[in-house]
Amino acid sequence: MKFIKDMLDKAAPEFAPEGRFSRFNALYTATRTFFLLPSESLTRAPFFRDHLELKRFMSFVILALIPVTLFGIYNTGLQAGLAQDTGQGFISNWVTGARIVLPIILVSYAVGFFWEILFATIRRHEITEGFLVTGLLFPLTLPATIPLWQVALGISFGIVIGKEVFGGTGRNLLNPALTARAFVFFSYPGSMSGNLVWIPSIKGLDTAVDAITSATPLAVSSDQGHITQLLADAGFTLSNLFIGTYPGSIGGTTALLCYAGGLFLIITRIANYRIILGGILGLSLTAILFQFWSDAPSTWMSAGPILHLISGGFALGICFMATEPVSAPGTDMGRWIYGLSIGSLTVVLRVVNPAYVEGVMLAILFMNIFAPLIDHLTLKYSISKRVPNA
Amino acid sequence: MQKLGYLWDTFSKGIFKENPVAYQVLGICSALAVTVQMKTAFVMGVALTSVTALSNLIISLLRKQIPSNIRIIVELVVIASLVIVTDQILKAFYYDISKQLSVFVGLIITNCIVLGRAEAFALANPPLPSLLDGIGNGLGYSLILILVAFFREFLGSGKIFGLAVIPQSLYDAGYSNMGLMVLAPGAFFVIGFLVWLKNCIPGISSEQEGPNQ
Amino acid sequence: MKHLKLKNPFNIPLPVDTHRAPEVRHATAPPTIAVSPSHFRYVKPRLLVKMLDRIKAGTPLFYDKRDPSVRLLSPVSGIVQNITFGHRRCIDEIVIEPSPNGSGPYYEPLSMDQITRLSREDTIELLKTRGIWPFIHQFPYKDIPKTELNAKLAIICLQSTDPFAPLPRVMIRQTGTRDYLTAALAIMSILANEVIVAAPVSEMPYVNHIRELITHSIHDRYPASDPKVILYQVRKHPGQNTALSMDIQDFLDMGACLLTGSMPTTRLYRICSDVTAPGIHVLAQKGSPASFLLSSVCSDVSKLEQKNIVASGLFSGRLAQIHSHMRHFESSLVCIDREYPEEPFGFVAPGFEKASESNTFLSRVTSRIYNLDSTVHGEHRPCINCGYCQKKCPVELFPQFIMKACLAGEEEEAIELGMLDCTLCGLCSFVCPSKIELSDIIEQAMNQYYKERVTI
Repeated sequence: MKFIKDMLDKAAPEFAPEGRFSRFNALYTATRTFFLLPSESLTRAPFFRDHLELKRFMSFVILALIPVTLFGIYNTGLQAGLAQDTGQGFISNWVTGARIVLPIILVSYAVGFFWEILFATIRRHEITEGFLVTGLLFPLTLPATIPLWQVALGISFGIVIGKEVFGGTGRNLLNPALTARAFVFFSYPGSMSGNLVWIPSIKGLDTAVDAITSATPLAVSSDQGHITQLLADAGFTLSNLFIGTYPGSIGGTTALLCYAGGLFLIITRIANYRIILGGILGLSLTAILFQFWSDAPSTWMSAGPILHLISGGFALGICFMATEPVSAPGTDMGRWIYGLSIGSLTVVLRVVNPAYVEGVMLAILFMNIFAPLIDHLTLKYSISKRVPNA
Repeated sequence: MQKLGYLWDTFSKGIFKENPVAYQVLGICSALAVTVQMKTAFVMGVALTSVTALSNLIISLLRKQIPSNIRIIVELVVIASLVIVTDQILKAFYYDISKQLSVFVGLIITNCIVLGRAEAFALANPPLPSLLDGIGNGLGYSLILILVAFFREFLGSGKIFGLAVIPQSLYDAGYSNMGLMVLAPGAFFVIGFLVWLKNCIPGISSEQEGPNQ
Repeated sequence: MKHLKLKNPFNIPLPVDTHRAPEVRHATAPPTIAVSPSHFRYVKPRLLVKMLDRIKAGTPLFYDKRDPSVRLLSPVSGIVQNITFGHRRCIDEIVIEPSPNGSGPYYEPLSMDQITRLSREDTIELLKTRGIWPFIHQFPYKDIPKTELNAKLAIICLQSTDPFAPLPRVMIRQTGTRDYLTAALAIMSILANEVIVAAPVSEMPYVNHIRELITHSIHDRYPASDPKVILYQVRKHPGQNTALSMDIQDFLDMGACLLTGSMPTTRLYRICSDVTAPGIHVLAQKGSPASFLLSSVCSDVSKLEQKNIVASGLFSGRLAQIHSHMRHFESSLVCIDREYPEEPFGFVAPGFEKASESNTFLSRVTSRIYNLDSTVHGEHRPCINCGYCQKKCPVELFPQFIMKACLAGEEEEAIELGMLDCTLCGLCSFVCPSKIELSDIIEQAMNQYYKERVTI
């Protein structure tokens, strides 16, 4: 640690305003504060401050995402192995998965970091930590077969259009990770949806094939039979769906770990429980409503709340995407409304709109747009309950 | 010499400094609709440039005769006649493109740029500057349209003017076209980027921005 | 007696809370004392004394240009030794060297009967001539009250807002307080229609002898004892927004001044030379120097210069220079570490030893008292709308929206959001993970609004 500190201290004059690399001061500060958390003396009341700062705030989201990421890696290897019948064991599942998933995450971070530094340097503001979360969340929403250049393009769009155009962290209207995903989703539908993208093939095998067909649970539907039975026939049992050992986006399959991560964020109060609970409640109620009115037992319309809760990317979306505070409403009542709306919109999009089987991304982006309006209305309401100032 | 400078200013203002799409944000509707391919965008640009130039010229010639309380109607009559003529010419000689452009040629009449230039410039200026202003604004519009169409066609379908420019080997290597560019939002993003770019380049933008806070 | 609940108190255990048998020391006479005109926030002072003037106790030191009948009197006799100026030539301190054996000013004592029969005009006149009027606050700006105002409500809390302030049990213990309190309450009920007297629950057993005077009991934790928080909890209509309030020590002094005729010259201070210790009560002359007060509890004052010395509490106080004097409304001094080491990988450290309101620190599972320090802990960042500030706001405001409205210059919107209810408790700034100076921004906006829109 002392070695790093000495090195940073030695480099400091180069990045000072009159130094050679003064333009890259933001980069230096970001590096230094990553290793050594600064704590300046206070000159204004209150004369002591909470230890919580934004680095810790964001790194707790990443902590909650680590199990999801690890499971994603394992599951990718597992599915690839299963599909190609290599009979590989536990360890080689990890290795295969890591070889496929880690490059995606690395590209996402590297390209995202490049834009973050570029904007921080040009606009002379500090490099903010929010991007660390964006850079990890985005890959988790992608299928494992995604070409790396599309990852790079997607994260560039997410960081530049989703965030920096509006003025950087704290001013973004939309969740940058979801903006990135939406961009890839609409730009390259061939690599984001359909039956061919979910299982990566293992390179270097004799049996290697270009693409392996596999439907996601949400794409399962038929003319007859009940949806639960149809899913079970396709290999998607409830426990399977809950744990997440089925083909799907890298981090989106494991409802168990996503909800566990959500619970961790609720307990540490990093995420607002109102959004998560509201989302679960909204989704369940709408699912029950649809189930009640449904006349097509073989479609997702009659799937019921449990299936809706554990399938698709809903768990990942509601626990990690919807809870991003900047693009969510800022009032408690607003957060309930926001969560409930995301939940019910997800079901509506899944069930009613045949074009997009996965509804949670669009539901969250849609409600992101409405967040300022929700804030406005709920603020007006809570002001009306106060004794006015004059 | 001074006169020439003035005329050049009138002409170039419409192209760069006060570009109708990128600065005044007019004519966005057709900029979204006809920019999937460069061919249609080009024809649309030509059509609009000729309509704006001729309407500016005619209205400028008539400016002393038009009573101000019915000037809008007169302007519309002039523009509408020009638009109909343009539409008919397109139908006669470039039927395919006219089909692709569908109603958008007819809708030039509602394009704010044409009426806007007639109102703002031609009514108060002599014919020559008015003509130049019309051509300048038309070209400014065409420039943006063609740029947008270039990006949309190139990225969205890998073609320029209908010719495939991205080699098959690139597709084989894993490249694919950007579907978003074919959709209407793609045009919004490209226009947004162009406006951003224009505002970043010093000298072209007439918006004087202070240093970023 | 009604109990007022506080939804979101400050939860970190402070050492001062644990004190149950407070020690009181009497300080000898200080070498100098001072009166600070700039401490009275909106007053535009016109000096009435100059350097080296020999003055008597009760001599007016300055008056307020906005209302010349509002004057501040010298608490002691002595010589004006120095007049110091601060930022933009505002008068920082009028330093007086007290003459030996000097006593306070003396007036005609009044009996309880006479006090209750006073008319409103006579009361105001009396308070102004005795120099007590500037010690009354009027909400929402905490300015000196307007003479013509008929207040609907007055709020007195036995505990000062500042959690480091002297405990009521020490103040009330002195002889005569019951009579002083009764007299002061009589005066207050002439000025306001209704008077609320509040005391923290933990102090109730110690103030039994004045129990029937107390109307409300309040939460123990900061900032429950802020009169503006109490106002928020009891008010029913906008007319009560312009309530009156007084610091408890000034309130008792007012009673003493009326009943005995002499204005007390001493004030009870609580001095915490170490923030982890409960502090010591010191009875000393009003306006004593910080170094003098600190030396009465700590043998080596020079050691304290390495620390930040904060007057009047950590939350809304002032950074005091060691040689500066106590301001009128201040009643505590806290010494707190000025530095905190750069922490390797601080953002993922488990945080066993860190005082925090956040559940991301393991220290939250215990209720131990941790060392506090006066540093930022992190870097400034844009607001991420996390909503922590509104969770801590004692008057249920939305500090982040008010802050944004203030920064955008939307005063009307900020006021619509209830900006004037802000008690400036500082908890929003304390808790903000982006380290935004919320309460500072709001305070400035409030002052500017008051100066531009209300007082012309």
